[in-house]
Amino acid sequence: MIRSSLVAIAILTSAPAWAQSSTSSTTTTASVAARPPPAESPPVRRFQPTPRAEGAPHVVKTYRDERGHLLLVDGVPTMVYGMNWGYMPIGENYSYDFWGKSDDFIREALDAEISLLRKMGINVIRQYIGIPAKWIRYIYEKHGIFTVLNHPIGRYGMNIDGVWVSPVDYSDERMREVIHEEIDALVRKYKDVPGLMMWMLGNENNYGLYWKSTEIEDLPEEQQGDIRAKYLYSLFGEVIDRIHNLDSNHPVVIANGDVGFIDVIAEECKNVDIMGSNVYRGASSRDLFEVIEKKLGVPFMYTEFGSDAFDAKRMREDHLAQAEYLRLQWQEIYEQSYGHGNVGNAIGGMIFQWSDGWWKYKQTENLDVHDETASWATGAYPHDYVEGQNNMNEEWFGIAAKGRNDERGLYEVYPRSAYYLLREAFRLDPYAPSTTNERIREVFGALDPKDFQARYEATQLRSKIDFLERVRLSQLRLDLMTFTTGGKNLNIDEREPRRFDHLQSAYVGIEARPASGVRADATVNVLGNVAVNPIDEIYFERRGIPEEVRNTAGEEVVLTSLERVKLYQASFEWENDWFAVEGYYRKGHYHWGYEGDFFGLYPEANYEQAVDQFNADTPSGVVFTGKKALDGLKIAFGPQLYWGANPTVISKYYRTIGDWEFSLIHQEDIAQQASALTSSIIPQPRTRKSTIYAAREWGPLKLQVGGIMAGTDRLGRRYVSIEEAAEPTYLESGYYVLDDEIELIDTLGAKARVTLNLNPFYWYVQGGYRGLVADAGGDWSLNITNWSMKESGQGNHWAVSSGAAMYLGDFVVAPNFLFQKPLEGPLVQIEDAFDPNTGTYYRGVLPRNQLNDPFWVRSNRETYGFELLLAFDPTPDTFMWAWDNLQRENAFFTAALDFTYKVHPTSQDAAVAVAQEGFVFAFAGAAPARNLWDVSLRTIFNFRSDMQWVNWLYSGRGQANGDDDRLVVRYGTYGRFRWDQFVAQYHVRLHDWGPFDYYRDFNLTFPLQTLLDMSYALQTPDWFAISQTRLGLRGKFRLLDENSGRFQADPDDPDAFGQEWEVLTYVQISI
Amino acid sequence: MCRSRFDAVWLLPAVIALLAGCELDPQRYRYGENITGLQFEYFDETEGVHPSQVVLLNPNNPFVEAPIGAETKFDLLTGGGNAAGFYAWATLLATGANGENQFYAATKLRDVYYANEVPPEDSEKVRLLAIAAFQSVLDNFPDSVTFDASGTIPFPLATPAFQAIVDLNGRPEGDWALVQDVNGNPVAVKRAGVDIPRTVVEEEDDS
Repeated sequence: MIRSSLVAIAILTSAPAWAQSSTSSTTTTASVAARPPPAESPPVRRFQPTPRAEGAPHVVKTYRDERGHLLLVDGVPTMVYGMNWGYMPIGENYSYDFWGKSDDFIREALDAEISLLRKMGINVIRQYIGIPAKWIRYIYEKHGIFTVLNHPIGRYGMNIDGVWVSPVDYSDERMREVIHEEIDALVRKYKDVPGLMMWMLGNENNYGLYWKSTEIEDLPEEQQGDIRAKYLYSLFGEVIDRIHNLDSNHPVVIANGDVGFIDVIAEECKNVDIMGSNVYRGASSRDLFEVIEKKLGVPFMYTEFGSDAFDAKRMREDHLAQAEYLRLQWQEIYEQSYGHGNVGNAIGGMIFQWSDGWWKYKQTENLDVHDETASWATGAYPHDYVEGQNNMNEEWFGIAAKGRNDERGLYEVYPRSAYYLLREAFRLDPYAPSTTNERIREVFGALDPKDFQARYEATQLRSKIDFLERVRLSQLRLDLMTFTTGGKNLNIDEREPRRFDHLQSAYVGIEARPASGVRADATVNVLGNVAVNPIDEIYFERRGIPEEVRNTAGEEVVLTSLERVKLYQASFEWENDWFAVEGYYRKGHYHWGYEGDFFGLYPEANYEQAVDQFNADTPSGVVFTGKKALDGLKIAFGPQLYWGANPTVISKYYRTIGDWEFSLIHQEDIAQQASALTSSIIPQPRTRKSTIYAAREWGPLKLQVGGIMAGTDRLGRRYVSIEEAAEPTYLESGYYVLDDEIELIDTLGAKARVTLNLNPFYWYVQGGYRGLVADAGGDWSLNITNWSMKESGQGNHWAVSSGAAMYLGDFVVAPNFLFQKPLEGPLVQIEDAFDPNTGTYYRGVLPRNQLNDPFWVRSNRETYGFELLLAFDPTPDTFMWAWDNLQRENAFFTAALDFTYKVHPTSQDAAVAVAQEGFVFAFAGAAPARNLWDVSLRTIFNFRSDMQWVNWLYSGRGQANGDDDRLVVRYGTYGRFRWDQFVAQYHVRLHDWGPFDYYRDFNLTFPLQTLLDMSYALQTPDWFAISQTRLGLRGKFRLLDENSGRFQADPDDPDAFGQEWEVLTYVQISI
Repeated sequence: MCRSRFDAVWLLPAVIALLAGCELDPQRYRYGENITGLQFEYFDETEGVHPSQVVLLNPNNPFVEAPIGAETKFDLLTGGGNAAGFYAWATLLATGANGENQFYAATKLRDVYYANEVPPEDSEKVRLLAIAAFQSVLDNFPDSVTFDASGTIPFPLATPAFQAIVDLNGRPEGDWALVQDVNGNPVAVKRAGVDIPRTVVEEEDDS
């Protein structure tokens, strides 16, 4: 009916008839035909989308004259550059419900894929029913691509009155009735949707005619097919007529298997508008166009055609062959289209298919495997055809390869050579007057698939690299060391003779990026031999050192295989729109001091090599950071978030509202940390802490205030304090002794700071009060400048501090003061006593300690301190107190002198330390009250860009951590000189403590300690890089005296020093 | 309007001031305390027996938080009364395990029993506790010694512990035997591993 009306209006002139017609349903657009297509744009005759209101459907007609057939879309002759498009992530199969996903998901997938189709020149996609009308409209309006809506007509089974029937019996009346009902509903719902181009019926239903019925099976076998086909195509014919009755704007096409049963089609589908076929005849469809024209006399459109991209003979991808087949097939379509002197009935085709279907072979198995098994054979593709073998690989028909899914199930595609070739081919307007057969052959003949292979292979390579980069070797490090040591006048006789030892240690790190926003890495350390005689007895990687144990039979056994393999470091990050989660194990993290943590509950934890030296499993934990509605929320949780932390959870809510910033933090220890490794980091008793903080700026003035409640778990615990008094006193000690217990007031504290910024003058004043058990952490933030003297983070004190910094050109002068006093001072030792005459027992008093008392006096000891910081920095852009300044500093010369003097009128309570055997103990007392000072001078010279010298000079008067009363006055220098790849590190220390905490705990000093380390690296060494490829030599030398711990005087020369020395060679290989 | 939200910031000092102003328990000046009248109260079947530390949880123990001096503990042993002596030495045992602390804790338990310083219903428990404490000397500190008042002459503790068990009508466990040394003095030894000529030492009948 439609066809006849179009024929009636055709006016045969020299110009194409459609170009001169003007009816309500067709418009003339011939004026654009002569314009050459601009580069990278679709052919000019491609239909341009225009927004259409609901109820304003496109008018799509077929047209025929003696030159052939046309498809007119709103009057514009339109070649169907079609694509069998579907969205099917790897790992899914036919049950995947793309249209059931969220709108955001669908939109993102469509925008990525359809825009590629559009760039190629595709103007139609084929979709089965199930696509919502709004997405047909979206695809059209956003991307200018039409949709052919395909009802399968029971091809893969159908639901009939609640029963799934497969294969369907097309002779069944109820089945036919249901089909009609479905079609009627479908057409009514979609016929006015902008973007709908035509209706399509079935998909090779002629290949599925194998239902069983007595009526048919009684017939001779050669007649059974025709009978079944009659039922099928008569249904098609009925459906076509019903659609025409409901919708006069869209033609109907059937998707037949090749030209099977074409006589039956001619008989039963007299009103079909377009004949469609799935055709796999290789490079040419030969007589197909003539047969269809002769039998049906309607336009022809491939509903599927193309080639796979896999060479089944050579078992490898062959996208060039695919491109070549498609080139020839499209050339034939052009040649057989309107006006080229051939049959003239080709109106286009729908390439099969857009992207590879990884599910197709076996369909329910190996869904994430790109199967290379060919599942059917045809000699029409002779390049990989072998008689008796399959050569068609169903999973490789995409003209785009498919990438792996991301975490949301979206994927990328990588267009093959055919995509780029056809993109060029489609620039040729098939209906332009200049497009002759010669022109067609010329254009297509010039297209060589090899010219397009590089782009595909590059993108494919990129995709493979991306995939490989999901898991990569992140670290490979090998340490080889030798130690030669000796000594003299030692009380460890076996250390005196020259000895040799060696160490091997290897690190292998793997990083994984399973999806965007997710990253994880892990490094494993494997030990070879571990040296046991370096002169620093607690040495790099204590693991693997032989240990003697007693077995169940009481015999001593030496274990040498302890912890030879260990998870050395690990971390992960997972970030999405709602949160970010970071995890770390033996990897550092920063503090929260600049985001509301006024009391230092979450300190910085960058320990570098210290975790190796003490074999510490710290820091270890997970940090959750909220976003969107959870913005401002952070939760840290873990077994040891920082060194010495108990298993704990710290939650923080930090926001800025208006001019104010504020935070709430709560820390709840879950259990007591079981072990301690070094005296400087003894786990605190399990506790809980809460803080509140607010801050605001008024011009140059900033106010910060905070409150803390901590240690409520210690409420009711008893403690002792003392009061100095005149006689008579407790056991004639000079003190009254008082008993008390922790109360609520002792858990509270507050702190306030005012900072004034009048560049170049800065000033701050800070005051704080902490109840006896209101312990928190240190102040990790940089306040104005890098003063070393700060208020203690412990409870039991009040403090006032104030400092100013004045910038005078390149110089900074920064004095700082601190007044700090414990609420309850340290205890003195008073021996207990028993008077047998009266039967009275006088309990003794011992200095408090961290193990047995609810609070103690250590860093919070009474202090009247003065600090003067002088600095010279001509390049303030490389801030000299930045953590990486040593690496970044670019001035020729910078210097910083820091002097502190502290008056301590009283002593401290007892320190806690770790014994050689590994248990924690408290000293009996503490070093006495003394005034202490320190001075250090840091200088940096950048002689050239590749030559730097960093040096520290220092001196100081200090005390032992333990109870030894000897004052230590020490001097020294240390630093590093770098010249290109050569690095020298050194130190010379006089009367200083040894390298580890226990030297200071027990007040063990050396008259002289020297070190010189020279290394040559593969590249210019990074200051902070722990590992790099280099080789080096290190020498250590020490003198020992009676304060050095291992010293044993020579009876023949009692004034002689002891000696220890070590020569270390090392090779470090690192990537 | 926003400003009113931040009035809460100023609440904290107010709360602190309020709490500070509350009536607090005053500190108590410490004086000596008479302990000779201290009564022993049976508390637990392991109190004073290594490795138990329940004595540190006993509210009747006056030495829980008191560092007992090296001299004072012997003053308490001799003049502090049986109960105070036990608590003192049991506390020392709980905070520093050694044979001497175990032995004297057992000794004071035995003295409590002999002196009938517990109600009759607890007497048998105390006897058994004393036996367990002496047995702990044999089991856990078999080589321990104590010293005379000069601090120079050591006395092994296993033998008096063995004898004390026998005196308390107990039976030493763990293959211990009481034998005589070459001078005829009794000495407790383990049956296994004793390498003393039988011609010199005759084993006593311990059946």
